Amino acid sequence: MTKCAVIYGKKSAQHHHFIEEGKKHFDKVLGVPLEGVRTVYSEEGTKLMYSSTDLTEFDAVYLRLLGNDLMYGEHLPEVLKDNGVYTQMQSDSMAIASNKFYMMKVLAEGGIPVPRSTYTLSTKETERAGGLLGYPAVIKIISGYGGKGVMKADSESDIGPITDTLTLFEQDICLQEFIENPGEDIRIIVVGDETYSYKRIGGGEEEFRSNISTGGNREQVDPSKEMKDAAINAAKLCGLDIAGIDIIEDESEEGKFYLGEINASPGVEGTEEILNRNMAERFMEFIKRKTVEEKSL
Amino acid sequence: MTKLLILANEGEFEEEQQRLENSFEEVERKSLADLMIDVGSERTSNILVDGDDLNNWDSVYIKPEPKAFNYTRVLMEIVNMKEIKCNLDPSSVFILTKKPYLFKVLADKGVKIPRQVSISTEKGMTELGKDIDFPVIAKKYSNLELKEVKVFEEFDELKTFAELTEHGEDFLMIQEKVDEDIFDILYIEGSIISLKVDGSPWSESGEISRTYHSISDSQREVVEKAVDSIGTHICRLRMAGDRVMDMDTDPQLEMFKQKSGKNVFGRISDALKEDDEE
Repeated sequence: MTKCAVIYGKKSAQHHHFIEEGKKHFDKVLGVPLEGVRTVYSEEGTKLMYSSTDLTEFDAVYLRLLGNDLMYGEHLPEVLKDNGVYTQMQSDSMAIASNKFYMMKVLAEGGIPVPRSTYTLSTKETERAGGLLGYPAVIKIISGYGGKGVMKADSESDIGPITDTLTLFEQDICLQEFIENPGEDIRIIVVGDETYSYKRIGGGEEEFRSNISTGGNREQVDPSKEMKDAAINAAKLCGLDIAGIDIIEDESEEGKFYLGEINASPGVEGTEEILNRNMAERFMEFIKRKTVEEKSL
Repeated sequence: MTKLLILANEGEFEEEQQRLENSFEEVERKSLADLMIDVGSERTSNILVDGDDLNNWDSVYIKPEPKAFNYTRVLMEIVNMKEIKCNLDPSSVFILTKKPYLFKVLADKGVKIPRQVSISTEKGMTELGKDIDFPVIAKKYSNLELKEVKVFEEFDELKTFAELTEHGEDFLMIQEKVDEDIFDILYIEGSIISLKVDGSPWSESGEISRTYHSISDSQREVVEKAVDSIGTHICRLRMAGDRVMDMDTDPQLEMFKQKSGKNVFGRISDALKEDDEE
């Protein structure tokens, strides 16, 4: 009997899709809120409990977590892997994917083209960073998601009012080079070595963000091989078997692109029509295949 | 000439800075807010300190700040890559700050620890009584900083305490209480300074006193196994008998100097200058 758990965070809205689709591939699928997980440490080792269920006795666990879950969820991948449970991420994947600057650093070191980015904690240093990057520039809250916490600074005078507020709330700041683009990007969902792509188009002339949650739309697209290879490589650099990668095309040069962001828990709702594929089912089918391969079931 | 950069907030680490000034030719003090980390497509990351390249300094001492953990983690990776001597290193700062991860590492490496659990909120307490025996010490961390420590004799009291935790900001470490002598230990590159703790560090009053006191060979072995497991070269430990109750990135150097009379700062300076003298 094969068993899979889907551990989801407090802000997760799509975990029920994976629990339902998982039932087509595993004999038992258990949905587990991260808040209900207890880590037990003893001289015999470490295990993860949900009530009286030992999650380290499962065959696979899909970690459906967001940055907000980093505080308590970061040790889970390693505990699972040490106990022979397949999961789709490595121990540092969450930290990388939930920090807008950290992901740029890891990807740049791996040779992936990324916009020049800086990481600061004060207005003074962010203004200095603006001087290096030039304007316009993009200000991002380190742990934002779904396009939230992303703002455009057209000049140095835009920096102070924004970053003073961010530092007041103890938010770290990522300032990024602005890539000239008509407010659209390509979302490539990586599942192992396969890719599924669609274009996201911004929500109006004044909206430079293209996230669906900020009013954007989706359209079919066939990215270049270079883009697909970069997306697969980026997911690997971040230790993710399943990831959502945002590619920004640079208008100034044909074929030039940058990797904008990586998402460890890509959304699947509404993608079926564009991709002609049930992505939740594809994720769970992949998790089952990897589980069989790794555990020789 | 060895130049030391101290990264600490205003009002913190001032006495310690004066003592380190006796061991370095040049000491400059800044805070994390004076730094800018810069990365582009050239595969390299740079750190500017008030506009100057970090490579201008030979050694860095960082006063760890839990609320700046994410920044410190990225900073440490780059400092390490640039081979600048530092009191912290990227993997141990991560393990020591993230307590649910710290005790996983210690448990897996066979270091003696009390039986314990970690939870995000009270929702993780269902069936907790099967995993741990009371009395327990409960430590509440908010944004990675220790906020409250209490001893609980019963499950219901602990549940009330846990109901005040918030997912995403807090977590609880719950350890079986060990009734043995308690020691605070400073570890610097193989040397150990130990203080015996008298009083009740886990009671509501929290009043304690510390006196210089050696530890046994078996305790020393546990300390060495613990620091090897984490890969740190400077840290503070709390032990109850021969069990590791906690480890921390902030060594509290001044406190150990005052209580032990030992040359704590000379040892720290040696650790930060070692390679230059070889």
